[in-house]
Amino acid sequence: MTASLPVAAALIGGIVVFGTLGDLTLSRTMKSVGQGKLQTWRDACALAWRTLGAAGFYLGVACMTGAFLSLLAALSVAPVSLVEPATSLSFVLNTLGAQFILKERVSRERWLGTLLVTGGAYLLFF
Amino acid sequence: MKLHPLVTVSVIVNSMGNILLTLAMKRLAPALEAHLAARDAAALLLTLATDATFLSGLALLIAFFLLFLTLLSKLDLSYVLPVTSLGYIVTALLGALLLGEQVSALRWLGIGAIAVGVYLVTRSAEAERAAAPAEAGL
Repeated sequence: MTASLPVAAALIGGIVVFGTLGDLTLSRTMKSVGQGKLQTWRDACALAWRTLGAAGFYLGVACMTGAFLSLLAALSVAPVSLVEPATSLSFVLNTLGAQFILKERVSRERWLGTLLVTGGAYLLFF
Repeated sequence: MKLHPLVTVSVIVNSMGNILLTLAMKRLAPALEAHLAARDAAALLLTLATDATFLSGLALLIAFFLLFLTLLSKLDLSYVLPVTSLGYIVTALLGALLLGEQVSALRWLGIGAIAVGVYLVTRSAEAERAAAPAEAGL
């Protein structure tokens, strides 16, 4: 490792926070432009057109880009075995955001499933 | 337990994209490193832009992003995100089969945990759908 732990931790935080903000923004945007039927190709084109006209889409993509750049930066200063497992934290942060910001109903069963996925994703990198 | 058909398609598209990109980057690594050392950005981009494996991997990952957005337009983020993590399992298995990667005992444990987690999340979505059948279909 060539960088201090605080730098690596800040970059990993950047991956998780930017990624979560991106997912939450895209989710909210797609819900608002995705009303109505989606059965034909014409519906799909109309949905794509509405998506490209929504400011939230560009904000979400910008956040995702920020997460990707943080990932590249983190990988250049810290070992993969530290960076990749830590990104599994974004499942928890996203579900918290979905529950409290997007006001989705997240049952106890769904929380348990999400925590298992988080732990599983963490273990996958070993 | 029934997975949404679009979820299944996105998981497969995502994993195939990851595998193809890994194959391409591993094969191209020596050439890319040489271009990087020579600070030749044009040659680097040309190497990537003329590689069929790299381009198909990239196309599949873009397709996955579009599918992911479509899923989010109809379904909850707290459902879509854990369920698409099935891609981790498919990628790990394909990596073992196609790229000869090792699957350690800890990794098998992780695969099992993800499978059970996705099962629970899917069951919670089914319970919700049963409670509110008026939900618009995809």
